[in-house]
Amino acid sequence: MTTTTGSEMGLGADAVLNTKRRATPTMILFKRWRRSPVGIVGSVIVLIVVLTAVLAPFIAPYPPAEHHRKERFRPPSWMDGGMPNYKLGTDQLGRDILSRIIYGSRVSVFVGVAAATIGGLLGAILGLFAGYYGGLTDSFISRLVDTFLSIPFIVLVLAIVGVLGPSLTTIIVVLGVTGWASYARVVRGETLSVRAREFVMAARVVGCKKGSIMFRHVLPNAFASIIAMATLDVAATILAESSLSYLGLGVQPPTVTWGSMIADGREYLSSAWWLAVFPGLAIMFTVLGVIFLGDWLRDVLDPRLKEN
Amino acid sequence: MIRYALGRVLQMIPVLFLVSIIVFFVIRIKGDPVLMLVPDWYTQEQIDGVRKAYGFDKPVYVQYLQFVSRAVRGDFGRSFRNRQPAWDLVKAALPRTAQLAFVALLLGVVVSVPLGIVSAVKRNSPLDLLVTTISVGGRALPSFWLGIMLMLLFGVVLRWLPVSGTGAVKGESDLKYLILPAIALATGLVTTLTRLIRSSMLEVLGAEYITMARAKGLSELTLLSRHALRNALIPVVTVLGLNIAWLLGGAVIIEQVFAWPGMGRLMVQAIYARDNAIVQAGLVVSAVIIMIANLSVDLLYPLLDPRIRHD
Repeated sequence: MTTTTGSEMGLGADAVLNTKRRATPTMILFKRWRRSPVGIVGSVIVLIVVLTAVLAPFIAPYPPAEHHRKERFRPPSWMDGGMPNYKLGTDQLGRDILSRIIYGSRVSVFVGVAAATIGGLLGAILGLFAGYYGGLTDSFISRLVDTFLSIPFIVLVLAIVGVLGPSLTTIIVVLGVTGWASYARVVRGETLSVRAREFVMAARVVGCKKGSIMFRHVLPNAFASIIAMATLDVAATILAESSLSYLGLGVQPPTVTWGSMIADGREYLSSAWWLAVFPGLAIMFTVLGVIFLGDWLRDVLDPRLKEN
Repeated sequence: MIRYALGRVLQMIPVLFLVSIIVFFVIRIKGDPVLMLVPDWYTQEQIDGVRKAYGFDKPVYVQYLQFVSRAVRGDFGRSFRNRQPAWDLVKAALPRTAQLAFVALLLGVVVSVPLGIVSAVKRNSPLDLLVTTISVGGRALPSFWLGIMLMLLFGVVLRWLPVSGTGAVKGESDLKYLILPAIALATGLVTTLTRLIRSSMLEVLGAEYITMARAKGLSELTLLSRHALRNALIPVVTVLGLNIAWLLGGAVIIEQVFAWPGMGRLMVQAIYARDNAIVQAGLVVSAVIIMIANLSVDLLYPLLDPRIRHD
């Protein structure tokens, strides 16, 4: 049986029959997501971690700070001496490691996202200004960027947190504010390249105000780079937060953090290795997921928005 | 070329200025810096005495000028814990960090260059896939945790290597003590470098001049070593230089994990103890090192890549 196309049926039937539903950006995104193993793995992992963080009180078998004095240093349940209710073993105070890992995800997720958002906003705005206004503003901001990139990130963060005293807000603000420089650099570059394009010149000729040009034309184009950078920044922030916690300058007990669990574990390395191993695996798992997601976002958003 | 070099050096000046401001204000963000320098049991009189002695009673801009003029001469004040000049302490610890960083760098380059090259040449082979997987996984590794895992494997399980400190205690060579921290530090470098070398090599190998050289009949080996390699390694030099900042930062944590007496550990202990003189000295020294490294990369780059020579 031969198929008849709409156009062969005559009378403009093809206008009705052959047009597919217009592919919306969301559909395109979803199709590309389906085809990318990296994207799928990344988003699944991130989803798992975020859900764990949000639902922690409901899925953790024990409260994270609950001591079980008679069951200290229990190995993971599949080993000799392990107990089935403490799946990953217990620590030096008899606290369930699995529950602590579940609760620890809250700090990592929250700090990671919050700090990356602050850094991203700050850096994007400064980068936008530098790229668009040029001249003295640009020179000043660029020197500022160079300065911040000259001081090792961790050292600066340590110094400031050391002075201000560690607390959740301090850490988020410090990690966010010290991380703005890379965003600014990228956004500045994007702004410069967009600025030279025709539609911006057209907009200016027509008489649009500088501010509106910046926000309505330049920003959407830089958006792709910002999102991609932000995701990878979340990964870096999670690692930085765990380093801070390891050094004791992170969020303080009784709040559980993966980094401080590892610090505890170091002391008992020769007798109870599970204290240090599992939190580290949790960090790796989370960061890997975020990196995969970020890499996929970068690949997807970049050429697509440029076509617009 | 000279003009370019001068230009880059001049650009360093405002950056140095901004760094000095940041370092100066870091310890003044919260509260009275004098109160943080003195022990709890000091009387108000004694506190005022310290304030005068360190010049904290003068207006801020005067303090800043004093800070800069002293810093330039290497005077960052004394550590209040052991009364030694902060600069001397940093100077003593710096070579230790340099040792660690150097060995880590060496290990990193020695491992990642062959891996990257083979990975690119034998693209999509099992080896390539293995290398890529390890590079990706390595990006997610917390360095301090890796250090602890290495300790666990080599120090506890296998008992081949000591877990912390240096050889000074027993009068042995430092090498045994240096290996684990250096490996931990090198790993992050290896992941970045391997991927970079691989993609750089792939790009170069696909270029026209390589196809032409092959057509001329050049042997694969000559091709690789004389043409491809030199060009592929250019971005590597840049990345190495720019990663000095990262290396110093990484060293801070690794030194703390392994109790290696370098500048990083010195600074962390100083931060715990609010020993601001050392913190400031350390920040300035790190910033200067990084700026010199960046400058070197900027100056070296045109030499390596004739395409971007400046007049």
